[in-house]
Amino acid sequence: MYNRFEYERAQSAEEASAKLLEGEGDGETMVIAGGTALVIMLKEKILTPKRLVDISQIADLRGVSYDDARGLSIGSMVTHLEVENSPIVARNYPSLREAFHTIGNVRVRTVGTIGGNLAYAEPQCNPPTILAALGASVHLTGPNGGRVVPAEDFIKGIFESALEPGEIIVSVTIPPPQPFSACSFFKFTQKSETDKPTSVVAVYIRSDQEKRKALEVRLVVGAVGPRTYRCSKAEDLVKRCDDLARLDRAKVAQVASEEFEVMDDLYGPAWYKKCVTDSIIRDALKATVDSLGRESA
Amino acid sequence: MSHQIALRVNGRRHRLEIDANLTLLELIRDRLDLKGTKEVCGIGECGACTVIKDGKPVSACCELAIRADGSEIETIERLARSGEIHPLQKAFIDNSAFQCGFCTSGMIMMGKTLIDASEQAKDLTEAEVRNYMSGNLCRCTGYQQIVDAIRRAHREIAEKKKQQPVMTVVA
Repeated sequence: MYNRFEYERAQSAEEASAKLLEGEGDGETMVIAGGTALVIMLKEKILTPKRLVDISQIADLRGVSYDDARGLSIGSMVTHLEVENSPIVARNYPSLREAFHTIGNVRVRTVGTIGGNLAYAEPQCNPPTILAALGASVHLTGPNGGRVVPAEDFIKGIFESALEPGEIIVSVTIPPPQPFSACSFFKFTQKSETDKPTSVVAVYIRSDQEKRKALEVRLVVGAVGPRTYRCSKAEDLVKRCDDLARLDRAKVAQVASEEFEVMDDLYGPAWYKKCVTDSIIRDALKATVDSLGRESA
Repeated sequence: MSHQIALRVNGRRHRLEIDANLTLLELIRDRLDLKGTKEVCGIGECGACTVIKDGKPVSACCELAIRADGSEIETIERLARSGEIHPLQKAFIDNSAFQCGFCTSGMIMMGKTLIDASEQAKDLTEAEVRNYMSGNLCRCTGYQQIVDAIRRAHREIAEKKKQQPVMTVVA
């Protein structure tokens, strides 16, 4: 049995935000979304809130929608399994589907939500990395109204997100897929594929019509250090390459390795994570170029 | 502060007064005295406490009971009907898919959600079963018998459905 707390169900994100602020400063009011991580923290007495505000049933936070002009919008309380099983996602963002298919076991995916995952800001997980690679935005509401944070800037450190006091995640949006673009997600685990990752890498490339030259590149590494890292020097190297089929992937991976922090954790020592990441960066580059339609050597 | 909740467990309606920190597992085992659902790891990783909530598998040890208000819960006790065990239970026995039995009710409830959600026309592959069941741990059997039992039960249920005539409503 663990500590006692009060429980309330919020009817809207604004109401939840107001309740959070009432308890602000003492850390005694917390939001519960899917609860997959939070309930364990309560049981272990790592967190001891006096009040939980449940936002999981707020209808405005629950849908997945798509239109060709604005792209994909996922409500923050959409579960991992709903993202994985969404036909819209499967059709337009196969790499997103892949990343969500391997978050924890089926029971975790049944209950856990995209917004809860981001707010929890645990380094060893899939969503922040794939969302950053797809150019996603995180939409928030709070005491000062709404604001939008790029997914690549959302995770600030270990269990630290960009959320300010009283803010709630409303949705995550992803721009519509562009012609001549591809994205790949690679995850390395020590045990089953749904285990927490040793390293995750996502690569997005948009090229010219000949699929030779990259016009836009996002190379993102996660699960190795405290946050998600976009490797801009490595991206520049990809953009400077004249023929993607002949991209020097080893060089790109080497340049990228200077752009992220690596730390020891339960999923491997730092030196090991570095080796694994080097390897899956090369794999992800190859897979992305190949899915553009340029078979790389 | 205690809360009133109403839910159905194995088809029976219950109204209960609970504290917000009660887990669904504690509700099932201690308040409703249904001991078939087990607690092992207590952190949602082993699957021994798997129950079905509104058709989907959940780790009862990590669910707040208060969030099951208004829902429909199925536990292992629901599976046998009028003295006859469920094909999945029978397949576990026939395949020796357990030794100590502690993980078994979770394995069966998890397996049931896979079978219920799968197409009947196509056999479940070993890879599909292993992937789906990756969050259920067994320290006795080495898993092969469990995987075989789930695949076999899926086939048997599909066969049985095929033999049943489709009901037609005549006005």
